[in-house]
Formats: sequence, C-alpha cells, structure tokens
Amino acid sequence: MLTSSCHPVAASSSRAPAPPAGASTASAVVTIALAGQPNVGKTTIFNMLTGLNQHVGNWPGKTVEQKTGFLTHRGRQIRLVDLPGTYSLTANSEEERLARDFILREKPDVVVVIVSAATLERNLYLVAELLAMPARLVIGVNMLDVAEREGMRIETHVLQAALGVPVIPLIATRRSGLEALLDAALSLAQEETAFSPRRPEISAEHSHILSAIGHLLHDHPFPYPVDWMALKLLEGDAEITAQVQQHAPQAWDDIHALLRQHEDAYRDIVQGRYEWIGRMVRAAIVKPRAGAISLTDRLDRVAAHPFWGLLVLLGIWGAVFWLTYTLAAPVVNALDRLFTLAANGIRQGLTPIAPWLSSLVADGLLGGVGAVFSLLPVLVIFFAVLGLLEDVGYLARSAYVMDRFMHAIGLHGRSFLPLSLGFGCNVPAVMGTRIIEDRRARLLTILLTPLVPCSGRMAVIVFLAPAFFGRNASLVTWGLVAGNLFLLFLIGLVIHRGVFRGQRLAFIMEMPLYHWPNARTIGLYLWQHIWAFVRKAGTTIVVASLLVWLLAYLPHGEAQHSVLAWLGRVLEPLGRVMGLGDWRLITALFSSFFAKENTIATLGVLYGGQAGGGLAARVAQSLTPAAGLAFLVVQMTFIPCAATVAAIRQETGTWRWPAVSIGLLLIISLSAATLAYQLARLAGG
Amino acid sequence: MAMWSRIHRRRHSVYTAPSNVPADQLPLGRLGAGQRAIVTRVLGGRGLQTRLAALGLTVGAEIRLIQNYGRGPLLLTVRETRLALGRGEANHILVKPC
Repeated sequence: MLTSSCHPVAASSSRAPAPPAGASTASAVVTIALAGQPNVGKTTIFNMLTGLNQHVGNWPGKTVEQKTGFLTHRGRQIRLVDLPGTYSLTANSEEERLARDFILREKPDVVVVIVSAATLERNLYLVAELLAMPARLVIGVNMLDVAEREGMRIETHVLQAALGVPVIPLIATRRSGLEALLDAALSLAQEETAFSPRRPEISAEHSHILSAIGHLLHDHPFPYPVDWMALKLLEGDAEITAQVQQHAPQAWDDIHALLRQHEDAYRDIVQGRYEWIGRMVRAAIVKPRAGAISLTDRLDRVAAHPFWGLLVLLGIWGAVFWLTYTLAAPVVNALDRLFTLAANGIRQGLTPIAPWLSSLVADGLLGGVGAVFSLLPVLVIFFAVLGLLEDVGYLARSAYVMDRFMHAIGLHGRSFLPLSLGFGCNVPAVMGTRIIEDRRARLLTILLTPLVPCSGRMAVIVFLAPAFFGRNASLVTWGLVAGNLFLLFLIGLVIHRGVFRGQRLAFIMEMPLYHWPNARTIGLYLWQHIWAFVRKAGTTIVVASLLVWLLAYLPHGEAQHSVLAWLGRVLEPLGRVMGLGDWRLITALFSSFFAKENTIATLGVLYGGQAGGGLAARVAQSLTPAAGLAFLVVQMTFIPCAATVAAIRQETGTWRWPAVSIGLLLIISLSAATLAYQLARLAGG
Repeated sequence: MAMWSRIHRRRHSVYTAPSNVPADQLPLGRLGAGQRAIVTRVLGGRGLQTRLAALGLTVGAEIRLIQNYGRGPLLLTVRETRLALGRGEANHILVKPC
C-alpha cells in the first residue's frame, strides 16, 4: 500500500519544485493545466499567456505534443501546461488518456478549462467530466464576441453562481479577460478562494452501485481516486477496466457482476451530465442564438458543397502553390546567387593559404547549408498560408469535402488533414495521423504520406525546374505534383481493395465556426514550424553535407576521383536506365535520404568550384531534357527521408512499416522515373 | 483482427437502414436538409456511443440537418455544434422529426 509503484514521485515535486538558488521560498512555481475541447481558442490563450517563452516537446514516452510555458503574474512564477484538446476524458484516444493522467497523477495546482461561448452547452461536457476528478477548476468563457455576432448573450456571473466554480469572461483575440483569468487561478491555487462546485448527479439507483464498486476497489493501490475509477467502470472505460482486470482480478469478478446488472448505467451518467448542463446553461444564456442564418451557414453552402466546395478546395490549393512559387522564387534565386558569390570570395581569399579549408568552407559549408537556407522562403510562405487556413476554420471543410473521395481509397476525410500537412513536411504528417482512430486507416495514411511532395522536394523542383525547362517550368512542376497525387490515389486504391478488402470507417468531425484570423496565432504557428526546420538544417543537414563533402574530398582532394565518385559510379548502371548516367546525380539522389533538401546541397558540393552561372544552370547543362525530367520524377517519389522513417518507426512501433515504406517507394520511384525517361525520349526530348 | 472485421461487417449491414424502426422514426441519413429532429436511439458499440455523446449526440438531443445530398457525409448542428458525420454513422442514429 505504501509503495504504490505506479504513483510518480515527480508528482509532489511538480507541485512545489525547489526554488532556484537565491530566490526566496515565496516564489514557488504554481502549476496550471490548461484544458479545453478543440476549437475553443485554447491555443490562442496559451500563446497569448506565454508568448515565445514556451517549450514544445513530447509527453514522456509518447508522440503527442506537449507544450509547457512559463510566465510571471503578480510576482508569482507560473508553469502553464497545455493539455491536449479533447472532447471528453474517456480513454478513446491517447490524448484523452494523457490529459486525465496529467490531472490525476501530476496534480496541478489549478486546472483552467476554456469553453467557447458559442458552443457552451457541448463544451461544458468536459467540465462535467473534470468535476468528477479531484481538481480545482477555473472556467474561462472565450469567444464572447463570436457568440454576440451569432446573436447570443451569456451572463458569466450567473454561470459562476450556478456552477460554484469561478467563471471568467474572455475575448482572447483581444487579450480581454486574461489578467482576470490568471488572478482567479492564482487565488484558487493559494487557497484564498474556497472551491465548492455543484457537481452533476446520477440517479439514486446508480449512485448506490457506484459506492459498491468504490468499496470493492478500496483495498487496491491504484494511482487514481477510487470514486473516479468507479464512475469510469460504470461508463465502460476500456483502460480502467483493463487495469482493474489486471491488478485486482478478485475484485473484478464482483465488479463485473455488478456492471452486467446495470448496463444502462452509461446512458444514465451521460444523460445526467447533459441535464446538469441544461440547468446551468438555461440560467446563463440570456438570449439564445438568433434564428437567422449565420455567416458560417452561408459560407458552408459553398465551401462544404459537394461540387462548389471541391472547386473552392482546388482553387485554394492552387493559390497556395502559386503564392509559394511566385513569391518565393525570386528570393530563392537571390539567396542562391548571394551564397555562390560568398563562396567564390572565400575561395579567392583562402585557397592560397589552405586549399582544404577553402574547399571545406566554400563547398562543404556554404555550398551545402547555404543552398538549404535559401529555401527558407518556400517554407515561410507555405506554413503562413496553411496556418491562416487552419485559423479561420477552413481546413475542417476541406476534410469534409474530400471525405467522399477518400472513401474510394479506404480512408475518410480526416486523413486528408495529415496528408495536406505533408506538403509542408512529411514528419508532422506522419505524426498527425494520430487523429485517425482506426489503426488500419492510420497505417494506410502513413504509407501514403511520403507520396505527398513535401516542401523539401518542392524546393528542389522549384530550384531546378526553371533551369531545366525554362518557360515550361510551372507546367512541369504542376505535372509532377499531379503525378505524385495520382500515384498516391493508385497505391491507396490497390492497398484498400487488395489488402484491406474495402472496409468502411467512422467519420465524425466538428466543423468549427469561421472566424477572423488572429495574426499572433498564425505567427506562432509559422515560427514553430520554421524554427523546427532551422534546427533540422543546423544539425542533420550540416552533418550530412559535411559528410558528403568529406567523401567527395578524400583521398586526393578531387571530386572526380573521390570515394563518393567511386560509390556513385558503382550505381551508375542503375541510373543509366533512367538516363541518369552521371554519378553526381545518383549521389545527390541518395543523399536526399538525410533530408530531401540535401539534393541541392550535394549538387552544390559536387558541381561547385566552377565559374559562372548559378548551380541549377550548371546542373542543367549536363543533362538532356528527358534525363532532367527523370531526375525530377525520381526525386519527387524517392524513399522517405531519415526523419520521416524515424517518425514512421515511432508511430507504428515496429521497423516493419518503415521497411515496407522504403521498399514500396524504391520500386515506385525507380519505375516512374524510368517510364518518364523512356517516354520523354520517345517524344523527342 | 478478427474482431475488427466483425465490427466492420456489422457496420456494413446497417449502411442502408436498420430494420424494425418505429413508424414515426427514421435513420438520420434519411432526414432532409433543413429538417429538425430529436434523437431517439443511438445504435452501435460503446466506443462509437461515447464519441458521439462527447460531441452532444445523445438520446433526447435536438438536431438540425444542414446538408444531406443522399451520398457522402452529412452536416448537422446539435447542441450549438456543427458536426460532419459519415453516412454509416448517421444510419446508427434514429431520430424522430419534429
């Protein structure tokens, strides 16, 4: 009993961590957990409160993102932990398990729950679940402006009186109410305010069962409160049921008998919660939503329409690529010229002193990393636009519109979201598949993800296509993207029909109300993605391009007779089928395994040291158009990069799926490129 | 895996409409756009039921159907929330138009 090993020792230390040296004991850090259902503006509030002073990592041993921020309010240091946004706290998903485990095991001083005024009734369901836990709550009612625009009015002080829980009105996008929210949380944390909420009740019959189950559990050292466990068992929670079966088998037999007699208990509990919510809301909503057709209704008539919605979707994605392509291209070219210029300067200055150092800096470092950093504009524009689409609420509509098409390949609309993230980077796309509950659908989405051309690959194409194809570059680029998506559809169809035999999936998804974008939210979204890329470029890509440089420099300092050249020549026969009989191209292709952008870095190293023109032009000079096309095709469909492979391993739990993915894409890319080369040659390219 | 295919097959069988539906009720998938209705029964396993409940789809909840083109997913509002629902899931929910 005393040595309950499940109970983390860290729980007590997170409550009152040792103060930093020199600080007074009065400044012990207060831990506040931020909870809320999706689409209530929780992320905006977290970002507003912590700014850039936040740490983005993973939950221990999990792949769900954990965001922790630090702030000081009225002289108190606060550690703010952003819990995953979940609709309930029943173990339906990893996120829900993490959120409730944090509250029950780490015991934050206060849990701040964000609800939206526009969807108050449903949002209070999470509050009802939280009130069943031993947690001290503060409720923030956000989006009061949105509700007002919908014709609603909510009296938060009435809600506070009814709930017995501090309720703070918020308009987070205008920073309104945030101070009061922190004040209320701190006051509750310091136990200045009493906490005596009015909790949802369940019928007398079932509350009797509840205490009977609680009694049976009492002698077993579970890391959860007994009352809460009993409630979860009545609800049929899979995780708690499994834990009781495993750790208290004798008690389980009796509990199981009780549960079988009361299979209707679940409905009673849910019903009881919504009745409680009804009582709370009836008093607080002074003016219900006006009957008039809202802006969201009107927009959805087009954006969610089976036909017009598809046109909107195509138009928006076309605009995303067009914007990225037109805005980024001149910046990319300018940066490329700048880096070439700098490399030439260094070569002139350093070669007389130390030829190897000159080559290391000019070819290895500048040629490699410089080429990669000059791609930054592409990523900035892509993530800015995607952040905007997400923030206004459009992305959910794209999932809805795509649902009927995704069904053809055994997936549903939700899979469209991680896949579209893949256009930026395949790694978050693979991790984003967590939103798909069905394991088979998730695996299929993961296998298809590498066929979505990520910005790394797009950057290579954007960089090389103009030099290869001149005025037809955009046409070729569009063709390549369409080709990839066609392959994605084809492979999905084959796997769905052949392996999964055409089974159906559940599609349930909230469509958030449209709202004006918030610059700060988009800015932080952008900053987080760009920072992740810069970190990656600063580590993996630097190491990879220095490795390539070293292999290209050894043993005599001449690329033509280096170790790398030898390796590339061994593979030349393979490349010749695709028209790529140049070892430098083969090497560049394989170096894309470290990171897709590395192709340019490697080309920079291998084609460097020649005077005149940009890098792309130099590569173009050495290739026929047919071979150029084949190179772009194989680049677009090649095996996933190391980071993506690692993500697939992490998400699937075995090396089997990364291996399948690499094998599948190796076959696809080599055959597609060979086909493209031979066809282009026949066409006279 | 065997369990999975069983679940899916069951879901398949109610894809069109469940049998023994009371005369005044119908599966949500057959409700027309713009119609209002009260949920009378939620079929399916506990997993689907808890997910629907957390989003407000419980017995007694009033819904308004926004979009139903006879094929593909549906759009509806329930407890002030807009939900997209697959046709298969919609046919797990019985409603009484009002």
